[in-house]
Amino acid sequence: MKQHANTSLKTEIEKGQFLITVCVLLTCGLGFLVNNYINAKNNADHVVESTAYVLGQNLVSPLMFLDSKVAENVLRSVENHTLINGAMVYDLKGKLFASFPSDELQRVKELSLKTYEYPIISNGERVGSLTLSVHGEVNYFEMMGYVVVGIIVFGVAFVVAKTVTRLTSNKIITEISMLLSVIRKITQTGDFKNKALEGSKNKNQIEEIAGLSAEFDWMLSVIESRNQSIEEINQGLEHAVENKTRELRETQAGLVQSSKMSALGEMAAGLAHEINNPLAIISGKSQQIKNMIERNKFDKDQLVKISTSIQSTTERIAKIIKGLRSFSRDGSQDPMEICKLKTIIDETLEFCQNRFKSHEVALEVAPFKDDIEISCRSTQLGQVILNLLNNAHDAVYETQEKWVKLEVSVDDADWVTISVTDSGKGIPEKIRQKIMQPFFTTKEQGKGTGLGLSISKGIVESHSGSLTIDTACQNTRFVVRIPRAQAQTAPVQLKAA
Amino acid sequence: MKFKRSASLVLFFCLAAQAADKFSGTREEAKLLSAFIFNISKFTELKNASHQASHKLRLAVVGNAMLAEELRAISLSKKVNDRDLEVNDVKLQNIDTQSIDIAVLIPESTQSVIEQLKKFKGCRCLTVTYEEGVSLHGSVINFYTDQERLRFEVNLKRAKEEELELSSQLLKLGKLIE
Repeated sequence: MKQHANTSLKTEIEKGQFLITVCVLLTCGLGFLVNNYINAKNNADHVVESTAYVLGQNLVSPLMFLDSKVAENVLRSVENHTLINGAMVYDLKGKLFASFPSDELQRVKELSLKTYEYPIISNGERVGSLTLSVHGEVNYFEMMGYVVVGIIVFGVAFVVAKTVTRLTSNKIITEISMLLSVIRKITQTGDFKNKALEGSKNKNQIEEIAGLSAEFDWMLSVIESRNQSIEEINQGLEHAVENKTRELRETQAGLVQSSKMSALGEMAAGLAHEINNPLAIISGKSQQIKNMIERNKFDKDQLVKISTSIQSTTERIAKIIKGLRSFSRDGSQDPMEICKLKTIIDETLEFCQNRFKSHEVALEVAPFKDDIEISCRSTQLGQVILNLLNNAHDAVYETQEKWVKLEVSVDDADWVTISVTDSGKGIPEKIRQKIMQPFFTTKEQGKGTGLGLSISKGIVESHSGSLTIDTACQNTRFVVRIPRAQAQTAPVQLKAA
Repeated sequence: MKFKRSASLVLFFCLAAQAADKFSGTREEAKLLSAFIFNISKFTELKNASHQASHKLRLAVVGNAMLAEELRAISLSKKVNDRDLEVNDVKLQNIDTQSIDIAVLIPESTQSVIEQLKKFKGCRCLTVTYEEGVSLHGSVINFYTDQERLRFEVNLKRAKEEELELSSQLLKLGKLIE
């Protein structure tokens, strides 16, 4: 089966888990940074406040004893402070008492530094104030440190998450792959006895996949039982079809034979005449021999002539009977044989030409080469030609203009065309559509079986040929086209077309 | 040797000339000195056993009524570590050294100060003077001026003998004398 998947389940699972992991890590990392930022800010505030408190405590006495030098020394302690840029002390009158650096006041104004003011208290009394100028709210170097740590933590967590993701997805994929392998095995072998859950060696399956496997196994059981039912039904149907086919074949064979016998029946009068005439000749010749014996006057030459006539007449009758026997036998089982087409046509004409004569229907056989050979079942092909000639006769024998013409031709592709044309004016469209169907007939009741053309069509098609009506012809013309050479095939059971 | 002695004398006179070593008696100086004395009292833990925390601190000014007046003015509005300050302007002959917590001695002569200091020895009293070199004779705190600024020196040995605990902040500002 062609697969149209562009990605695998493993990739999708890993992708999903990876995205979730990255989101979680990013959230944690962001939280870490925000937390550290807040902590750093609080720490900075706390550090500044603590420093201010310590400085304030140490500045009480210098303020009280007006010792600005000591105050400056106290303020000098912020020199290397990471957050505090400088410090200034004001007395109670708001006058600058001491500062560090000495130009801090000017710097604060020029650089617009952020300042914090704290009162200096001694025994609950305010003795002055301390102003601290700071670099900023947060030490960004410290924050960069947090960022670097955050990136390292993120990297480590990423590797761990990736590993965990791969391990978990591998477990899922392994179990799904096992299920898939069972499905493939079933697809390839068609054996529904393979089971996903029973075949699994892993007893710690994921609950959902185990459930899927169990449902799949149940489905397989259902399919298996249904397959068995269908197989049983099929076997029954095959038997039934076989029986019906056999019955149909038998029926068809019977119909073909019936049709043939019907045609013979139609020709019975002609045949009787055909046989009666020779018999009359024989009878007459016998009377001549009897007369010679009674007169005791034997003419040797006359006797030879009479006996020769009787012999030839007898042969003629024998020939008719032989043809009749040949025609009446079932030829469907005959092998394909190379026969002369002229012989087949001549034997066929023997049966019917007397009938044409008796009804004064002109039967014309167009000249054709005597040596045309064709691979066929001669009995069947003769039956087709006879059937077409009889139909043509029946169609025109009561009309004013009554003639039938048989033509044979061979084209370059080694196809033989046998056409039977009568003086009729063609077949109407409505009838033409049904004329090849079994049991369709335009003849009066009791005269036709309606099987002649359909059987003829079946015979021609069994010879890889075709039986068609030439609608281009002004008269009624049936055309049989058969290849001269036939493939060596087993005898074909004829059927009504 | 002669050169060394001469140099030492020159240095001594220079130092002596640099410092204005006596209370001038002006109102402004009295105000400043009273503020200093008041502040020093804040940074000193007095160990006089007869004085409970609830009692007043007794400060006696000997020899300068103006200074006593200024100190009294301060004591009316402020307390020393939650204790009231009682300021008395006393005569030397009337003084009860045992009942005094802080004694401010501003006599007319140096010799007189030295004599007075002897009386306060062992009284657990914070003695304050404003006389050059007096700290060496037993004054715990002695004021002096340096570059027109009022400074003070602390005699740690005497403070220890009188069982006085002076704040480190005070020691940080004062000139320490062992």
